[in-house]
Amino acid sequence: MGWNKVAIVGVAQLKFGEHFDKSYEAMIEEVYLDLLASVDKGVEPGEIQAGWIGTGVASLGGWEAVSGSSLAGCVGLTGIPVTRVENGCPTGSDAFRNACLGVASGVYDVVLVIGCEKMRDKPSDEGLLAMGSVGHAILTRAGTAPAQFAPQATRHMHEFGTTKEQMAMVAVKNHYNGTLCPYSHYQYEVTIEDVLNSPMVCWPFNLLDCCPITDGAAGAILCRADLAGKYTDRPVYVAGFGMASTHQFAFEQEDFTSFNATVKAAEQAYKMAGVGPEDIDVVEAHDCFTMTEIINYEDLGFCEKGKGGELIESGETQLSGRIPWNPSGGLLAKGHPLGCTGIAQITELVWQLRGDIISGQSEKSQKRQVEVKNGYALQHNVGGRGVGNSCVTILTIRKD
Amino acid sequence: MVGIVGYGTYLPRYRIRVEEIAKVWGSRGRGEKSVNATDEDAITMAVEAGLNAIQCSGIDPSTGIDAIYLATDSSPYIEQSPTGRIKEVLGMGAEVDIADFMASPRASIAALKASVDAIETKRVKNSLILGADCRPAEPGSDLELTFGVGAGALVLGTDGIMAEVEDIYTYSTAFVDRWRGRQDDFVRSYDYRFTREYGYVNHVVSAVNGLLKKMGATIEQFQHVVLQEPDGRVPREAAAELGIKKEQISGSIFGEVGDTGASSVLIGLAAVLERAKPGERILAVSYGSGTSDALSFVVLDEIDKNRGRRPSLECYLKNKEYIDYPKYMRFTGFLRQSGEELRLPVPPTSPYMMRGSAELYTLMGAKCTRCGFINFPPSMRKICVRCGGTELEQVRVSKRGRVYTYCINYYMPPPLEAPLPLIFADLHDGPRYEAMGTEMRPEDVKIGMEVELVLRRLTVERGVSVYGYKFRPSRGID
Repeated sequence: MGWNKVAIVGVAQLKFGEHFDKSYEAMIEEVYLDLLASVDKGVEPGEIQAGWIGTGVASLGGWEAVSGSSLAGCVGLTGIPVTRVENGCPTGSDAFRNACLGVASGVYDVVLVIGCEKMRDKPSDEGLLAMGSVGHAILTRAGTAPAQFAPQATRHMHEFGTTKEQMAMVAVKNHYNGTLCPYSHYQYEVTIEDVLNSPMVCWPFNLLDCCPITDGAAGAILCRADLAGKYTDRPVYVAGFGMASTHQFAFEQEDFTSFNATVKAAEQAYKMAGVGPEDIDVVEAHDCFTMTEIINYEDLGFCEKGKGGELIESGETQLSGRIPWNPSGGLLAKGHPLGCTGIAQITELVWQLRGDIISGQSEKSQKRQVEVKNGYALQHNVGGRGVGNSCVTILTIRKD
Repeated sequence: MVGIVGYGTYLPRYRIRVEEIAKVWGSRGRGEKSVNATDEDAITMAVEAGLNAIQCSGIDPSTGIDAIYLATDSSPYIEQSPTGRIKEVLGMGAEVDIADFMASPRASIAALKASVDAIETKRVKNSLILGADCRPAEPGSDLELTFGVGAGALVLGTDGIMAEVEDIYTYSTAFVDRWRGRQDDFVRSYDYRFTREYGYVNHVVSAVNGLLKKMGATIEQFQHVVLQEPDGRVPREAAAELGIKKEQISGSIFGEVGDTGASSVLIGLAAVLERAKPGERILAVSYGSGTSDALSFVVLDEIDKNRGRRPSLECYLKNKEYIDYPKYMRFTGFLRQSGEELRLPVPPTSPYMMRGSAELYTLMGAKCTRCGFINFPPSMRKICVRCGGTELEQVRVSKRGRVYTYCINYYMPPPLEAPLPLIFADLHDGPRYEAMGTEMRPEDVKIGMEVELVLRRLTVERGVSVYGYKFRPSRGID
């Protein structure tokens, strides 16, 4: 029996991409309106009692002042409490977690959480540097976003013999999935050869081992589980969540073949939800880089330590496989607008659990819709400087 | 009695054949010269030579050295002493005196003389002399064919002397043969046919003759003669005039490294000290800007004590990689990569940098007295991240370690250069440490390889040179 004190009654996201014509505020406004419209029985703006806005790197990329006003001020909800969340790559899912806590505390009945990131107002390479070199003025000076995850990949290859071909298979899978998802930034398939032949960015990552730099926004409306019926007959419940903040600098971590923060966040989430990996029908986990998905398989308990390469090779995590991972295209194809990603993953999983994807009725949506057998979905992010932060959310369509 | 109790040198890895330079400009040349990597300057080279000399002396730098004198014509500054930073990196305290000697390639001997005086007055017990030069040469000029780079260092003291300073004589006039004005980017030189005779040869011969007369000695009494080498010709001419025989000329490496300026005589001395025998006499002669110093050293029994212990000059001479002219232009700063420079998030003179000196310059860790884990960086760790203990003590960490993992950046903004390895290495008796790799090509980087931390120049911002540690493949010598 999961925690299930909070229900998701509406979700929305914008198509991810390079939205040179949309400002940060415009993306928030657009997704907010889609979000209101997504609630089956409707919701009035006046019913929303609090908000959380997840934007992870705007101070590096966009220069907007960091406060809750970024949300309240542009959607006409001035006067409600809004918390701005910045927590590295898990910003969106941590904003979501805090929104759940706000409802579970009993202080708020209906709340709003939006994630939005404007990353392309800067050239991609400047943005990658800005994200990666923070932490210490000198000690982490040459860090880039790929350099946060690449040393772990090098070590995993060294200790377990994971290959670049196996890494490439993750990109092949997720790029294919992206072609089925209208919200995905990238809409093209790749082969293993394409990945291996793409330009080297940060050994061992070639260009196609990396997610794109993307703008996007996503949101959810949450309410007390017992009030959900007012808004929808098909709520999705938050069965559990976990969050872990670990080391500050990468060199402080002992084992580079695993993200300790993921392991700890997952432990908390599984315990709170009363389920294990075997109960999960579909996963949206943090594949910022190909090897990261392989490590996530192990850290989230879907295979033994060191066997992640075998799992991707087995095909079991494909849409047609036993446990589909990243049906949306993942970060690799769909994109990673930092503060938005976690909430967008939750949006995809809500649609999957509800069967909303198949209602799109196209051949593509038929392929993208997974079979919901147990009624549980798992969302995961990991990141932040030194990759020391992770958030895991378990959603369920089950009422028990 | 004052003398040399330790010596060391440093040469960068890179060389360019003089012919490679000459043919760009339509002329010819021979020999080769040393070239600094983009992240090296006179200061980084002086540090490494200094470390070698200190290790040779066996003295603990945190307690046993009372003064550092730096001699260079390539200081990053017109006003500001870089020696304060050198002193910090070498692990010496605030009570250690510093001084900067400039304005002439002869400055290292001026520093040596001042040191001898300070030791003889007993104000200083042991001093460290550093001579380093990294002078830019104007493309297409004669000096481009001869200017090399390098550093030399001596520890002077009264105990455990390897070579005693016997006597000194200086001959100095207002002669101008090479100069660099305040507005000049490069050193200029005047009519070589005039200056070689009236400059170098005249002053060197006068200085040596002055010393011999003062000592009542003859040139035959010196088994080794080390002459400053601004080129390959004038030392031979001066030697011929002084009756110095070919077998007496020692430490001549101009053909392999070029004119190393303020470090020339110190490097030449080191070459001699590597093989001199007790009882032998060394004549060392400097020249620069119309001044020549002639010094006599007597080699003592202690000379054998540290042979083979630290990177020898021979190691630096042999450990070399040739580069071509475009790369030389890039290394020496004439070719700059396009793009916005990566700027520090705080000014280089920020208190942030001062607070961080224990991790940035002196390489300390914060060891937990409860569980033994060495936390890093020490200025940011007052509580042990492993056990929560609050009693942490600062310890020096080893500069050497093994690569645990790495990645390699293929796109970097200036002033960084791609491909750029980022190395995570486990330091011996120390924490895991992350730093950029230097002198490493992608194919060179391997998990498990031995690396060592070396001080390099990271950037120059707002006119301030900012230094930091990078991993270099270990030279295999302790």
